[in-house]
Amino acid sequence: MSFEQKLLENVLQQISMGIVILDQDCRICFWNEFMQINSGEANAIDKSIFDVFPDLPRSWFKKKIDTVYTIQNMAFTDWKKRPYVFRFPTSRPMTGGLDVMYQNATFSPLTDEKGEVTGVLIMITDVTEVAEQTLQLEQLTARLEHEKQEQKKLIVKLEEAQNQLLQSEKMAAIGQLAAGVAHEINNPTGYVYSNMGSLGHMVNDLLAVIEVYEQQFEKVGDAAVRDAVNKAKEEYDFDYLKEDLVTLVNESKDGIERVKRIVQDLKGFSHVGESDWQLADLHNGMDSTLNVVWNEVKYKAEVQKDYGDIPRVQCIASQINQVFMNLIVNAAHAIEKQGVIKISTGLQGDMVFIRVSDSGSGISTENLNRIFEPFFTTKPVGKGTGLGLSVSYSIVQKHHGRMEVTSKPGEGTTFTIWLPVTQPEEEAGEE
Amino acid sequence: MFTRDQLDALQEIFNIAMGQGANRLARLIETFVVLSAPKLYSLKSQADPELSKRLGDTPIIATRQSFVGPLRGEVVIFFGMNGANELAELMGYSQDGGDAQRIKEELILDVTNILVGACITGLSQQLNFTKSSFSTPGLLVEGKTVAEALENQRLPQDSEALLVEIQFKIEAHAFFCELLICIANESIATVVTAVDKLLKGV
Repeated sequence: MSFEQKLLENVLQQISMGIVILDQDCRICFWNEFMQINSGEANAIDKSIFDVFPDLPRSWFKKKIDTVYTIQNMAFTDWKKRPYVFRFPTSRPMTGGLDVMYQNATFSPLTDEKGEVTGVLIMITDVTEVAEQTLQLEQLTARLEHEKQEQKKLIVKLEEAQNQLLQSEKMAAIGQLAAGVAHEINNPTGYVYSNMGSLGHMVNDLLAVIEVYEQQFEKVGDAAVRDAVNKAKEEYDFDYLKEDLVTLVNESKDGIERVKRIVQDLKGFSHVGESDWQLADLHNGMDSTLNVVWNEVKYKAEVQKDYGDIPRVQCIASQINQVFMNLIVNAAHAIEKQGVIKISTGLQGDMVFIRVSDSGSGISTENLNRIFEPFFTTKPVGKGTGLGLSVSYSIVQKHHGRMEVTSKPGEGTTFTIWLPVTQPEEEAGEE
Repeated sequence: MFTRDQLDALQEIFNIAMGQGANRLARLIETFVVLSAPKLYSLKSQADPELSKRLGDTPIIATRQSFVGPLRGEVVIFFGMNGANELAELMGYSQDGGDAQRIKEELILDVTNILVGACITGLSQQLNFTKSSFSTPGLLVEGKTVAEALENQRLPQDSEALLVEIQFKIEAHAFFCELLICIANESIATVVTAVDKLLKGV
């Protein structure tokens, strides 16, 4: 062996990559120290590569060798697609997270002077270090991506919460406005009401006096006087006047009584200064609410009440009334022409339920899952904000209750609110 | 840019080179391989709208491999998304376990290596260049359209490129791909000179 050959042999043995030369039958013609150390096989020369590495995928490896022979071209393997060609222990046994040596391999044809392929040179590069880092980076990227998605979801939730907050602020503002208006109307309504009462008595008294006049009038003999009075009576349609005066006064009394009740209910509904937890009679709340929204309901539905025996419930009454309002208005909207809205209440254990059923158009199954989503509405543009039920839902949740819905398209929908009679202590104290 | 004559000459060279490539591929997988005559297009750059027009907006897998030597450049190959599975069996991937996606990708890279090798080696032989060396083939993009694939690549906007359209059928399975051979600017002159020399010799 010449000096150059020795040097070359030495270089091949020492180089820190795997060098294997195979013939067409996959017999090992040469391999260097790197291969020997990592495989632990001392006498590999002339053995079949499949004997030395029994778990080598045979048909794939054979094809790779054939490729180099027939195409007379290089072939490659990439650790990303195939982590290793030869199963060697990892080059980072202590600090690494992988248990095998990741490898890139190059298969090169060795040709003689005639250009015929005489062997395949396999070069194995240890890329465990790079693989570790790349895999870690990939994990990190995946984790970041996951966190990003979570944050996206959170942002959506936050937006929803903010919108609900806006909506409840709006409702609170409307409530205050209504209360203000109710208060302003309350005084004039008060004295008109009391005046109407007096007026009623006075009209009756007046009519009694006139009755006496009438009786005395019969006795008057002067034809001129009788003519003048009868003429005046006819001209002003005295008989009708007499009848209508009483009716008008009674109707006005009735009217002002209704104004008074609505003002009272409006005050009750908005509960100015009562955004605190209190023990409230839900039946009162429901009746007030029904009065406030009566206009929406009266032409559409007959309201059937089936109130059970329920105790006073610890709640924020104005908010619960808002929930009632949403449910009643929705029920009325669901009824196209004429229908029935049933309202029933009851007590089960320490929970009360308020059930609002309508005989309306119902909700399709695909929409049923979405009705509590903010901004989800099937009403025409401008009719609904899509916030009513989502706000109701969050109010009920805040009260540690729950909301249930069942619906059959074409038959109607039933909403049931379950509320605990008393709130868990720490929560009620906070509000 | 190449002249008409130069393109014709290159067309012939690729005919021979790809014929050899198909022959080798057939011998390797021991199946009859039909190769259409490659069609050559000269592109001003990889971002040429012609490329998007030719490949349409169907999703593709694109691979790349570099070649160095007297010829320097890169080949980008666009494959259709399907048709790889049957080939996988022929290439000896069937008994080898692992997930289908990884096998498919490795196979595509193997085919890339074979095609690029045949193409560039053939070109070098015909032009009397010394042998080229190749880098490991790599996956460029997957499941995007050509336009999307090229969008985010930092491709030089002014380099010459040859689009070689080849179509090969293996038994009943049509396997379709486009080779984009991008020759680095400094090698273009070498190619032009060699082609001219060849033309004069005819």
